[in-house]
Amino acid sequence: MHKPSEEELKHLFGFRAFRKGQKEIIAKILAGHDVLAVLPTGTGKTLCYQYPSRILKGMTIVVSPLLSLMEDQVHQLKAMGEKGACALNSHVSFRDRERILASLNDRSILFVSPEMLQNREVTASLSRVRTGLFAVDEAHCISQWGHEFRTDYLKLAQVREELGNPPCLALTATATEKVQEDIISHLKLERLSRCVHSVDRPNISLHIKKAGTYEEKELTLVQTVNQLKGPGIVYTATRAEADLLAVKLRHRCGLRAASYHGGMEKEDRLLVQQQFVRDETDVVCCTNAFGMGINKPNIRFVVHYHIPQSPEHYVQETGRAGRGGGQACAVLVYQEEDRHLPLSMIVSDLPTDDEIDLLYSVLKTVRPGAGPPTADEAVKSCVSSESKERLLCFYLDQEGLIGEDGRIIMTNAGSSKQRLKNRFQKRKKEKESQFFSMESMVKDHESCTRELLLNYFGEAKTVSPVPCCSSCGDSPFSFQMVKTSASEGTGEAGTSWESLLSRIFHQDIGQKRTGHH
Amino acid sequence: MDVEKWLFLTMTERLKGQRTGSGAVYLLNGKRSSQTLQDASLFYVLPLTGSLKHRSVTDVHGILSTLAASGLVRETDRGLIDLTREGLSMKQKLDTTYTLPEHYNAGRFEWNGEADWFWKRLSLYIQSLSSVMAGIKTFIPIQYDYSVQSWVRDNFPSSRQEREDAAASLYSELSSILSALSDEYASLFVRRLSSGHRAGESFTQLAGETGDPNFTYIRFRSCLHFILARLSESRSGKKYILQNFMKPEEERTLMSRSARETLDLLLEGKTMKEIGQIRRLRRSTLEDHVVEITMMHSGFDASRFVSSSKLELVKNTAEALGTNRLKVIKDTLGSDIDYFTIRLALAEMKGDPHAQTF
Repeated sequence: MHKPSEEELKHLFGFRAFRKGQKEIIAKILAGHDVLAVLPTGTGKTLCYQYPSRILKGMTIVVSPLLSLMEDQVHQLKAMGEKGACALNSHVSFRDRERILASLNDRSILFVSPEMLQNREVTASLSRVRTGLFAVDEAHCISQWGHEFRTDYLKLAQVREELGNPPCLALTATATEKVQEDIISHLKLERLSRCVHSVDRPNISLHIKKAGTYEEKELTLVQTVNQLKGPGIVYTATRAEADLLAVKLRHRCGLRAASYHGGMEKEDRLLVQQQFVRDETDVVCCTNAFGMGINKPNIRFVVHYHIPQSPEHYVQETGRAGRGGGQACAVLVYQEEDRHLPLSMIVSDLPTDDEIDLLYSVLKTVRPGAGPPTADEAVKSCVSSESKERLLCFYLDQEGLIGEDGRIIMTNAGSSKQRLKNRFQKRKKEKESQFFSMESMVKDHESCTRELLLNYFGEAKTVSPVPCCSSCGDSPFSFQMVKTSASEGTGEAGTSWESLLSRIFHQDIGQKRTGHH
Repeated sequence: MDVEKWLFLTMTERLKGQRTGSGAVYLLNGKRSSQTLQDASLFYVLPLTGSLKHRSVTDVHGILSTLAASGLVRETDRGLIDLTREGLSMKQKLDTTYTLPEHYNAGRFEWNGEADWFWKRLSLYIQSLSSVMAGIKTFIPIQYDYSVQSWVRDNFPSSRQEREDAAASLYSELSSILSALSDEYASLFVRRLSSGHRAGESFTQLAGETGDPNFTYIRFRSCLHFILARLSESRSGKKYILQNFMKPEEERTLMSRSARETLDLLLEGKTMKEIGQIRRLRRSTLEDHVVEITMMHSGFDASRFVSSSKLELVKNTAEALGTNRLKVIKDTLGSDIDYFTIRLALAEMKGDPHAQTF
């Protein structure tokens, strides 16, 4: 049996040592076990499937829920020399899909969206190639107790079976006990090895501050950023605020600050991402759309300019700091009224009773000559968001209301309408209670924040790092963080376009050769 | 109030209450259909057509809803849109802030994807060339499109000498073309480029403290339009390396593939009826094609389908009534003249400005 070793690690990837948890997970996978790995954000999940992909016979499939993240991962792996990395999702054209499916081999690491795995032709093509490892990233999406439930994840066990039941690696950064049980049962994990690591990141100190006014909030941000310089991330609740704060920070702190959010063009988003990774930008002000695909070891602070939707969100977002092991801090500054936005977002993500009533009246409508409506059409005409559409289609199907041809079979309706309403009510309550947990943690200025956070995830605090958190009396400025001179000015500002252009093409004066035309 | 709303208000004003909200959305979003082709010319909105091609149809519809909700645009019972009085004064107010950049022509360079094609290949090529010359072997590409990446791979110079030559040529060509623009515009273009030393800047960054990122986008695209216009002018004369990055001519047409096939058969001398049998298409579909072809090729003789006198009659009526609305013209002319004749006549009146002749 093949065992992972430091020599091999050095030989294959150029790293000298495994990070916490990696070696054990890799060894279990190579031994043919199914593995549930709970590894805190920023501790190197990629290697857990990348390493086995080099050893195991057959390709590696990685199920990943976010399209933009998938593309980032593929390009990062390619830049590391992993030529077999490729992605299959709804953005990939039909021609490219055929090309990718035809070129799969043992060295392939195929990132695929769960939706794509519902396509029969795709799974048929995949099952013609041997799969060595079936990895499920963000595995908590399979559980409705998790903070981002994705119905398509529930169908993964069946796909895995069609692919000949290859060993499965379920990866997540945050999973309570309940979520872990869901992952194990829904993915049908057998010969199971659980590798659960603490969500605690001792090198990140946690600070929470209440602001009475918006001015006060802004002042805290400016002070924090002035002190810590960067690289850092500031999470805001809205896109407009992200843009606004970036301008403010440039002005008031003289830093290179950029904004990032889902409303920006794709190329714009890539540019900001690359500037940040290359240390050309000090601070990124952004919505939670930013950070997933970022592989940056030296982030020194994460500021939350609002209360996150759940402790899961908080842990994931703060976890982007200090990946390289250096001391980092998380600062959360909030105002009392910050609770309205996350609460209204929870409501707007789920179908309401009214929408379900409307849906059922549409379902009953039989147009003369056309027969019953298709589920897709009916659902689309009643709700306005994609997440609601997905949820409704999934549960209509579960209730047996959708026929082979995709049309509605109303005779099966029974009391399903009330069940649907109850289900979404319950889901709303769960999400609200996740937010309330976050909120009470934020408002508790007495108890140790780190301990509260660990308790939420069913853990006890075992180490007491210094600095720890604001409740323990530590301020983000109370310890000496070595200031980097990140802000050497923009360097390029004021440079003429002519000289910028000549730098791009390496036509610096003096080096310019003659004789060109 | 940002530039995208201004674009929508401007489009609405130009359509003179004769088109639906979707009609305006399709024009701005650059949908390819014989209807939008015709409307772009009829209403003189070519420079705006396709200006919001980088947005989704839903996004552009969203602009309309916002404008309607704030009472700037109204929709009649029949779905036609027009500016309200407030809308008109808002538009006039915005006209003092926004104006289309001098060289901007979305209908020519965005609608058929030419600017997009050019920029994606050029920017990735330059990033790769600059990085390799700086000794950086691996980097994350600034363009994720597989087709763009493989184009650059296939066209990338393999030897050091070839790379140095390519860099020198591109540098001198870009310097000389950009010199014809103001420094402000030339800077937008250069600062957007990624190289071995730095990643390009986002539109928010390029816009600066007070600017509108969306307007900066429009201004940046006008630089691309200017460069492309330059390169097209001298297609036959001076040769530029930059011309290699242009979308091949045969892929630049706005004509749908199906209309193209119909045209080929027409040129072989086949009749409409024969083509209908060969291609198993309905008469109405072929009529759409003929209208589209008439729009695209100013040399195409529509009188082989409808008598010249009828076409003249329609043109005169349209001018006298001052409208391009088919229904109004049809009601005036009565049952003698069918919709196909009217559409054909209107298509002839306003040919496509980048129409090719035979």
